[in-house]
This record gives sequence, C-alpha cells and structure tokens, in this order.
Amino acid sequence: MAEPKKTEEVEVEALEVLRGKGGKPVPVGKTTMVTKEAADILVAKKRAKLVDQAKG
Amino acid sequence: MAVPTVVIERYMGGGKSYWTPWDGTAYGAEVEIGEIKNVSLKLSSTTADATSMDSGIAKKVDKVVTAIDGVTSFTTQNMNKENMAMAMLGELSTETFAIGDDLPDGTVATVETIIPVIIGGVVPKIEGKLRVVSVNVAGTTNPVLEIPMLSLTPSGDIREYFADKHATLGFDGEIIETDGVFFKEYHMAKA
Repeated sequence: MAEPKKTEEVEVEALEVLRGKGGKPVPVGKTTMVTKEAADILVAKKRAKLVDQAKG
Repeated sequence: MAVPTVVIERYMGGGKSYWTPWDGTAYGAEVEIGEIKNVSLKLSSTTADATSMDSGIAKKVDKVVTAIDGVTSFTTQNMNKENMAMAMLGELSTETFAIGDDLPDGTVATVETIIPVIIGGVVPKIEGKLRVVSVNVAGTTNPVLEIPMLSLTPSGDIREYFADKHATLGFDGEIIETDGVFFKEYHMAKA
C-alpha cells in the first residue's frame, strides 16, 4: 500500500491529550484525524519526550 | 415670580462601559470593557483665601478657586480580553504553537495553533476615553458619562479571579482635561 501524502489525513490514537481540529481536546485513548505530516511530528516529539524522561 | 420646575432624577441601575485607548498620539478602536457594577465620580476644588489685614486682624475677603480635580472609580463584571489586559497592565497579543508543541493547558497541538495571550505588567500607563452608558431603572433618562481622557490604574485585586462567583475588575482614574472638556454627562431619553 502506498505511503499517505503529507497532507493526507490519517487516524491516530491519542497517547496524550491532543488538541484536535476545531480546538476540541481529544482524550488519551481516543482517535482523531490529523495530517500524515502532523502524525509524523507527533510521533517524533512523543518519542523525544519519552527518551528525555528515561534519561531522567 | 414663577418658581422654575425642576425635574428630579434618581439614578439606579447598571449599564455597559466602553474604553478607547490613547497611545499618546491617537485614539485606538473603542471596545466594550464589561457591565458596570458601580461607578463613582468625585470632583474637588482647591481654593486660596485672600485676607485683609487693614484693621490689624486678618479677615477673609476673597476665596479663589485654584484647581479642580476629578477622579473616578468603577467596577466592571464580565471579563473579556480587553478589560482583563487593562486590569493586568498588559498587552494583548497572540502566540503561535507548532504541531506537537505542548499548549498552555497541557494538551498537544495537532495543527499550528494561534492562541490569544495577555502579556501582563508591560503597560505601566493606561490612558484613554471612558464611556459609561447606563440603564437607569429609577429615572426618566439614561445618563451617559463620557470622559475624553482618563489616566487609569487597576484598583488592586482582580477580585475573585477564580472563585465560585463572577469575578469583577476595579479601576481608579484621574480625569485629564482634553480640548477644554473635563467630562460630560448626557441625558438620553428612554426608549
């Protein structure tokens, strides 16, 4: 299956409370639609946070 | 001689307040700064006495007004960004957060997010025009108080900033004469 384009919307599960489109919060565990680019950034930043936490 | 008829007005009620900021050279746009909870206006004059000493005993022969001062204080309710910025001696601005940034409330932005913000404590001097449009439930007219130039300071606490009742904002102001006008009170006929 082809990789979605940057602007294409994909479904993501909130690992922390997200502020979705329209400004409404998305609780942890719920899903929301974000662009592929946003999904990649969210994953990268979440990973960086986890690494920082692990380092203490 | 006919005794002139005087219409007695009683004031009671509330109204809305409007503020037009003055940046030192020009007025900005007028904004509503909340419902009026109360307004006080205090005028005072300073006098100098002239005394005669021709009989050896000082006798007052004249009293000259040397200054007129006017101060006002008012309390508003109903918060908006504009009146809160005034109470916080702040400036209205916006802050842009990128995707993945932590937002001020701890949530995470999934789109670029622009959030209004008050930068507090950066405007030490508030000057502008105050307009109080009252709704008088007791009299036959609605007074409108217009002060073209007011030097304003927050009068202390932002009362009940977060509490189980509505917060109020208090201000004190010193009236400054502008273009020969100290302040005006219009009497608008009720609809």
